[in-house]
Amino acid sequence: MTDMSFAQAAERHLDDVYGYLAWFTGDRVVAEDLTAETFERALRLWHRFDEQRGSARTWLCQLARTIALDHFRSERRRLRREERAAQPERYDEPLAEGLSPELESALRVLTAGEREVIALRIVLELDAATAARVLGISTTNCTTRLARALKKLEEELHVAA
Amino acid sequence: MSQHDLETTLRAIRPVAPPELRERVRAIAERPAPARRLGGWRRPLAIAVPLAAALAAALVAVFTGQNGSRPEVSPTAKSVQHTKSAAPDRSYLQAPSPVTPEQAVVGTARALGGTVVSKRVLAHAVELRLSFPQGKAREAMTRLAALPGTVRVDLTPHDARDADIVVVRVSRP
Repeated sequence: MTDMSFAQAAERHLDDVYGYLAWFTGDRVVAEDLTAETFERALRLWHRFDEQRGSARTWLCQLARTIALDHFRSERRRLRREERAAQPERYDEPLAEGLSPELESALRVLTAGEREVIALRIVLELDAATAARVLGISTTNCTTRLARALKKLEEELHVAA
Repeated sequence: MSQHDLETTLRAIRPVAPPELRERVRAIAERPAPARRLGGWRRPLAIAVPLAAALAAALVAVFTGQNGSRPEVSPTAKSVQHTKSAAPDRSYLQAPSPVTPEQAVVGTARALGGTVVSKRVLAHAVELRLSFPQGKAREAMTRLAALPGTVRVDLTPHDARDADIVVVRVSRP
């Protein structure tokens, strides 16, 4: 259990959860819905949160990831059902405010998994071990994934330039 | 752009939750925490206890069914009747069974999170269609098949994404 109340944790880590989901899904509108869903579930499961086992931010990011993966799965099912899987994804809004068009389009080339590791390690500044825990992979794997994602992003920017 | 510059740029554009989302999350946080579900060791207990009770009741029902009828006592044979009444009272064995096979099936299904979708009364059996959360159907089939009075258990295809339908046929009392 923890001394921090759920309301305090929600206030403190809302931007982290939203930022992570915005990067992971690549869609700010979806990220907003998933963020609300994450906090709904977090409220239900708050009694299970144990500060000894990790920070509230890590715990919330883990929950957010599970919810995002569920969302991806149900979206895939929906697309299959509606036979629209061949249609390209549409992004009406930029990933984040203040992105240059070159960086925005370079980021769009990355996969959700690559954007996710950048979000955790660079944007949220989680250390490798914590980010690896959220992703459910080893620290080495997390570091490798980040290096590859950054390299790919750099290459895309070079191509654009 | 070097990788270091890239990282600095990415850090600078950290997305911030819009005010509407902030309000939405605040409203969630202000809600009272929902009642906790049974967890840890209490959850299996909550399933095991009613299940054991249902099984015990079903076993009693089976035994009473096998013991035959109570011998008739002639109104004239008073002495015999008196001798018999001195013996331990076994009349409970002839008492109507507290749990029918159908009730045992329903009790077991509910203990596993299942619900009765429909019931069909056949000539010699009762057919129950039960809906179970996905992943519970196999366990349910094993338990239901072990219940006394169960004639047949089938898993049927179902359109719903998160549920499985199990059809159980039990003998009519």
